[in-house]
Amino acid sequence: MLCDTFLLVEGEQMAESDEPDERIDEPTTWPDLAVGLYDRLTGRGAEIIYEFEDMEVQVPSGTGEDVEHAEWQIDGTVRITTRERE
Amino acid sequence: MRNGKSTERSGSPPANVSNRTADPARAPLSVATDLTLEINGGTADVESTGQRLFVRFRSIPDAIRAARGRPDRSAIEVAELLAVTDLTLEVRIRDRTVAAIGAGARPGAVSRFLDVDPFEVRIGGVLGAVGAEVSAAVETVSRFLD
Repeated sequence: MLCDTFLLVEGEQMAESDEPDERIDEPTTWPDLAVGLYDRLTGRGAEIIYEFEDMEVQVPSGTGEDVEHAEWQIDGTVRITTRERE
Repeated sequence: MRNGKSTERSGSPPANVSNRTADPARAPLSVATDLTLEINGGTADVESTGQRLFVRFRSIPDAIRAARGRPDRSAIEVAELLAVTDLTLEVRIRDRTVAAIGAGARPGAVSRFLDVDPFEVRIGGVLGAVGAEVSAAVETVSRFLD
């Protein structure tokens, strides 16, 4: 039960770096996360791959103490690349 | 709470991620998936054609179970994410598209009436899915009685 992430740059699998100067602001919304991912991948011929192996996540219905949790299970692969802005 | 481990280490965007522009599709992505998703026992296959994602439920009960496991207000956040990335997500039940959300979705009066905005509801798809579900149920009963 795990999730692996790979960053491929121009056909080579790269280890992701966590250099301090790249960790400036954490995104607070999904769109911000997507824009960050786009800026990270675009122009480098890069592809990011998420591999899930029966990963289980308890997803809360909201915030607070008495929220319900749904059981999500994810298995498979997601590959993300960038497209040119039109 | 997540079980298992994660080696995800790429969620640190540069500083300019909060500089929003008027262009909703300011980070167009292409996504390829080979994924199975199960939410509260409701199973779906997630497929894509690059700019369009398909969540395929095998039955209406599967889709209902999954819908109940969705976080509150998540549809708005998902719609914003899909608009920014210029992606469209179609929800399909028994090979009929019943709803769409994201860049290519056009929620209208039906969506507002059903209070499911920002989802676009495909009435024809809903009716087709219900018909297919009833046919499958009738076929199952017929096999049982034969």
